[in-house]
Amino acid sequence: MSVVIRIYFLFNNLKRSLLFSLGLFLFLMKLAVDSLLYLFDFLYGPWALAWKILISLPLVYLVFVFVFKDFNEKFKLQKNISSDKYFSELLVLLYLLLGIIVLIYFLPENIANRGQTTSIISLYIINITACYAIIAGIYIIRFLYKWSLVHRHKKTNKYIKYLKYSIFIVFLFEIPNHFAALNSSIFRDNTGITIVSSIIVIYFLIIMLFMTNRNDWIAVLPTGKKWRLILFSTLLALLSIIVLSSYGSNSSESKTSNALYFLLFADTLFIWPLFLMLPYLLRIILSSIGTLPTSRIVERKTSEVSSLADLNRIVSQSVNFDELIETVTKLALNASGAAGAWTEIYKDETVKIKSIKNVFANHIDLLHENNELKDLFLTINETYLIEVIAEHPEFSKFQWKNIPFAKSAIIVPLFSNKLRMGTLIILHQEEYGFETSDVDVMTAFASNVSIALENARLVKDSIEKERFKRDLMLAREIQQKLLPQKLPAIDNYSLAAFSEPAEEVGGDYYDIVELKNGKTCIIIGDVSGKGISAAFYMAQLKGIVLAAAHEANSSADILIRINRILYKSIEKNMFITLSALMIDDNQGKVKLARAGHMPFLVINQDNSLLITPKGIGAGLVEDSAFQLNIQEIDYNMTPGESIIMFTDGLNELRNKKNEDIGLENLKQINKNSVYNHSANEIIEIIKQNVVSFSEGVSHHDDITAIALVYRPGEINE
Amino acid sequence: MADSNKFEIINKSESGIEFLLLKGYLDAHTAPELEGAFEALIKDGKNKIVVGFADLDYISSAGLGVFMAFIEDIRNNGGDIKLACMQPKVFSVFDLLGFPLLFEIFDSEKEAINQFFKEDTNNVG
Repeated sequence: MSVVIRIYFLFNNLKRSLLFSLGLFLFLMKLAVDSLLYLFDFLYGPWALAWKILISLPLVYLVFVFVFKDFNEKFKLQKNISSDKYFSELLVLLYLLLGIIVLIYFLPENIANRGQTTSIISLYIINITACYAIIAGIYIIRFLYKWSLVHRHKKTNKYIKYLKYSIFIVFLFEIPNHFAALNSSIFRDNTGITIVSSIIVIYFLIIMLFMTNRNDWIAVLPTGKKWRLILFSTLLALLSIIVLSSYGSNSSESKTSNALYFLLFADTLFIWPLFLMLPYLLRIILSSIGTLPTSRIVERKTSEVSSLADLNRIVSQSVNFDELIETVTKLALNASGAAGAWTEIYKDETVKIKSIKNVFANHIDLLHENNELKDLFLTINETYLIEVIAEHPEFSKFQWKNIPFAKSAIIVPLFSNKLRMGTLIILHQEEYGFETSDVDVMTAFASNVSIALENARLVKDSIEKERFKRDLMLAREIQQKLLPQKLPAIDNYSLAAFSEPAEEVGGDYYDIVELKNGKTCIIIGDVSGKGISAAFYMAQLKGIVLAAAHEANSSADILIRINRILYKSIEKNMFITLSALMIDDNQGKVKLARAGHMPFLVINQDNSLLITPKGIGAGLVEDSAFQLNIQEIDYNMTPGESIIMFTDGLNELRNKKNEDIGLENLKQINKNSVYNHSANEIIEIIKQNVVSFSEGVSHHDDITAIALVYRPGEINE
Repeated sequence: MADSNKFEIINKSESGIEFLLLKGYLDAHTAPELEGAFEALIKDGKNKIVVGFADLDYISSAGLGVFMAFIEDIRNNGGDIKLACMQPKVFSVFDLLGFPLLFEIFDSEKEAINQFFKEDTNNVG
């Protein structure tokens, strides 16, 4: 018996054993001294009263400590106290009350309030009854206190406080009663006291009723447990009423009340909690009976929620398609109370039946005989309930008779990334067997499946994307090597450059080449477009430029040769703009030629200007037309003057307001304090201007700039 | 990069000449639309085309490429693409590239139409 085991465990603790021993000792002392007083007939005098008070106080205190020992710690530790614990404690109360009733049965009939007894045995029984009553009473208090806290609501603490104070006052009343009992029973029959008592009774009733306001925990109990609750509570209430009635309204004659008088506080501590338990039990019983009708639905809902929770868990854990489908079908079956289910997946034009529950595969195949069923399923885009399969205009046409329990069905379309990838079918053995809530749960299931499949797909895509990014970064590194790694040092000139693609790779190009006549030529180029396709042409261009340089003797010459090769090989809608600057001598004489490219920006001490030699973009026209339209300009640079070649990414640079710099502004930006600076410094200034103008907006086209400054006397390493 | 800039082509037919009036931004994203418009006209055998740039705010190298892709075939069939009403900024892009040497660029649609008529009479005569 669990109760016996529980009592055993009570004494497990050393401290508790000590308390128990002490209490037992005190009690035995009372018995002993009472026996002496009885023998010497002093049982009803003032000495007896003094002794009663003296022994009762520590005894009651000990019982209190024993019952409430570790209450707070244990209470805090138990986060989720189950209803089973409630039942076991309720059972203990039942036994306690039964015990008391048994004892009361054995009480001698004529105990006057003075405690007159017929024998010493009766005296012992009376004392045992009183002590037992105290223990029971304190245990009842503990029960009510604990479970009011467990099933608490906002005002629980407040009500508990009221009760504590009020009970304390009631206790205070008890003491004069005991003194009064010495002299007469009149004190107890006083109408004044009766009125006060009545008020107190009603007050306590009201508080108890309000304390037990929150009874949601009863509503979610399974039906079986609800009936058990009703049974126990009713029994307990009946037993309490039996005890209370034996206590009686005519209390001076009731033997129970007289017995309880043998220990101080025995009756208060026993009767009041017993009395307070009644409204508590009443509410429990009413709540249980009240929520019986909806039990089935509550149980259903609970199981639905736990099915969804299961599904969520599986969905977030597994990225395995087959596993997912298997779990979904299984959970769908459980949640809806269906008889059978299967999931079919559509790939290309085929129907693959996966994860069948309680249906024969060949019966499903029969249904799918001529692909019409699949087409019918495809027309359903939302969870669809078929109340009676046999009466459905379209669905009844199929071979359902092979599956005897297919009387009603729910069709659940499954999507992944907005594409219809399959259908889940669940069957019920009764017509109208499914409820609306089943349809809702199925819809939720289907969404979860979609999400899970989406996740799996995204994970795969993400991994692929990472691979692409790595490849592009590699391509960028390789492309960077196509540009000059180090610029040649040219006497009397300062040369610097920078190039930044808009994406990982770009279409801008520049190089410093040696022409056939040994002269240095700076080439800058811009492939139409950007990104990977432009990058491919840029790579080709390097080869073409080097080949052309091998034969060329001036800027226009090299551009003509480049065009000749390009026109034949490049696509119709693509072209490459180019500019070439040949350094003719080291006295500042240069030759400029331009094929559709941005003008040359010349900056000297006083002003800046754009030089735009005529020329068509390379790859647009054939050789003779190109040659006809290209112009070579001789220019003499003065000391400190700089020529800047750039691609249109620079002048089309946009800021936050989406305005671009424009060629005019470019002239302005660079004019200040650029004169006679080294090429490196100029490039730095340009870079800074790019950063500050764009205001954090990333540039949308590749940017390249080359600066050549004529600085006679500058010997470069 | 500005998010999908708007681009629109308005078709117009006048005196046997097809007009493509461009509006907005012509760049790598929107160039395919212009390609499609040219292809449709060529399929219908229409090869006298005037492209109006009055409402075009920006053109990139991809946009310029579209013209190059179709001009050879159209001219081989006795037709032409003439350009008209460019805003200064757009014109300078064409100009730098040397397009005025490859295409006829007019200030107004009227002038472009007249040029087609002149060519017709020359051909006939």
